[in-house]
Amino acid sequence: MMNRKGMGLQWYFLIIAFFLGLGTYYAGVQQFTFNGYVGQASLYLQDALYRAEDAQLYISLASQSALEHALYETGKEGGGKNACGSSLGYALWMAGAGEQSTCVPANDALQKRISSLDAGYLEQSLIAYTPPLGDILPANNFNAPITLGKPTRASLTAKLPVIVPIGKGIDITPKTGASFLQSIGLSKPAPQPMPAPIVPLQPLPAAPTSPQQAGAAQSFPPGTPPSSPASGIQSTPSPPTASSSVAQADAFLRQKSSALVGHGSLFIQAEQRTQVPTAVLLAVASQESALKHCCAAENQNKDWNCQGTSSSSCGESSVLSSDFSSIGVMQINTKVNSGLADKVCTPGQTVYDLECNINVGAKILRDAYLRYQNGIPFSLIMRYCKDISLAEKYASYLGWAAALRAYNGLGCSTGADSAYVERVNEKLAQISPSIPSS
Amino acid sequence: MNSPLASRLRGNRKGIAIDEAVPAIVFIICSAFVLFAFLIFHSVPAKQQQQDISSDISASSAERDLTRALTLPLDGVPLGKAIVDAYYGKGELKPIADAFAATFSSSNPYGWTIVAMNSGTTIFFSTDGSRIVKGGTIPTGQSSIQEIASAQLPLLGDDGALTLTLYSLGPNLVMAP
Repeated sequence: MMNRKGMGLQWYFLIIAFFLGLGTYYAGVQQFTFNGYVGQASLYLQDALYRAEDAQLYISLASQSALEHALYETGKEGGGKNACGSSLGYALWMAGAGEQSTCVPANDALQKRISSLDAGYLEQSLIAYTPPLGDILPANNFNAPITLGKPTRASLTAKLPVIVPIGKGIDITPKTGASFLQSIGLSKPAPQPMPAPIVPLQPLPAAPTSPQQAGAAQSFPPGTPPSSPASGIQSTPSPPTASSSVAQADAFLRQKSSALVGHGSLFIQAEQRTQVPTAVLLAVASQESALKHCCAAENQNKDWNCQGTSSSSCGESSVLSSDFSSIGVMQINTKVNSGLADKVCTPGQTVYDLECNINVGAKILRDAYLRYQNGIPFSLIMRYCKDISLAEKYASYLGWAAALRAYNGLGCSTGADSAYVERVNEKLAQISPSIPSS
Repeated sequence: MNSPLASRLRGNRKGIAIDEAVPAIVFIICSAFVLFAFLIFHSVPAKQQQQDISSDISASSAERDLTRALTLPLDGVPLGKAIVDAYYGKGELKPIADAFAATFSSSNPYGWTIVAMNSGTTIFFSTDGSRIVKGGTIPTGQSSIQEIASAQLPLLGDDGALTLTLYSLGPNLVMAP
């Protein structure tokens, strides 16, 4: 026979068990809910295939048009020689019977001229391509040697692949050592050693005389920071030989007297997601915001009056802001890039949150690297920068230097920081003692 | 007084059984309530999911059809190139509209329209013909017009790119050229 106390306890246990079950279910739902339907991944894969076909068609048509245009212009200008004069704006290729040889340029010169025009027109067309859903068409990516004849041919060879993310704009670049479960976010990844920090090993070399001299292709295998000789920024080769930790990232924050000490892990997590080295992220953050995110006093949130705090989230009146609508530790432009938060941030976060701000900055840097690692096209730079010497300097950057230039913008008029890459390079030099090679 | 203890004290066996079953009954009722609540709040309506799947599949197929249509040969050049030529005033629009019709009429029973545009010029291809409009507008904002695929074609030099958008038309709507 039950006693009164026992019968009361029975009820309590029942109620506790009920709520425990409810809590467990909610926790499970949060972690394991699959917001989709069976077969959705196959459709994503198909979509990616069709988008790749789109890009291929675009490149193919651009190549044909560029060659036609180059041939037309070469004909119009007399192949660069124009020795027989012109009529109605078109060069004459022969002055009279038997004198053709005096007007027609040598085959090599003609081929060189057509190739040069063709490369320029092709790049102009490829710049105009607006990739859907985060697809990346690397710039300065094609070699197109011309073979004169009937017909004249251009053999297009890509240095780097076009990147087509699978899924609706979701970036699922595989991470080194990540399992399938980790890659779809169902389990926490094991702590990974940080790839080798990027350290400046040599001073910036003189800019090449033309964008075409701007070097060979760079590769960017997962987990391997690429090298960028022209920028003075280099990395140790793969596999990574250095490791870094949250403590080391925090040590740099402490060294710079940042109030964000304790948030070093956010930079390392951003690296794990985007493969942008922590050192680069810290250097950019240091240059952009002096490692401040939230300011102590409301409406005192400009770089000259912001007193940085350790808060990881704050509103419009407290987050560090520039006069150009850029905010936070990575100075994300809210007019242009705040939409990226939907792709790379935890649901509910915005660029006003420190973690999201760093992730968006890392995503912009990563995409800029993948697009411009072969250099930024000169014709693209000239849209924003009319100063030829600065435009040539910008076009000479490769690898991370080009990515940094694109991060800061391609303008060169008053207010633009034309020495941005060099300034970040100086910050990198300060970071390397904090994150030593092991 | 009707508590478990009272039933036992009175020796009412039926009452004792009911008293001891009360916690289980309450538990079952609560569980059923919670289960129904989850079913209501966490389930995706089957009809909605069917629509999502169907819409994703048709968008994917349309994307494939558009890309492949642009590679089809028309007078020895890919259709995409023929459109660019037509943009520059070389070649007719009619054969291009006919080639599109051969690809899209069967999958869009109520009609379709393709709008090729850049900043200055718009070319319409549709079930009922084709036309070029300077500064034309895209026929969005109507519930019976659905954008299902898009592609880009390169123009010359600084002209940028021509963006092609394929719209599927719903019933009772005709895009007259």
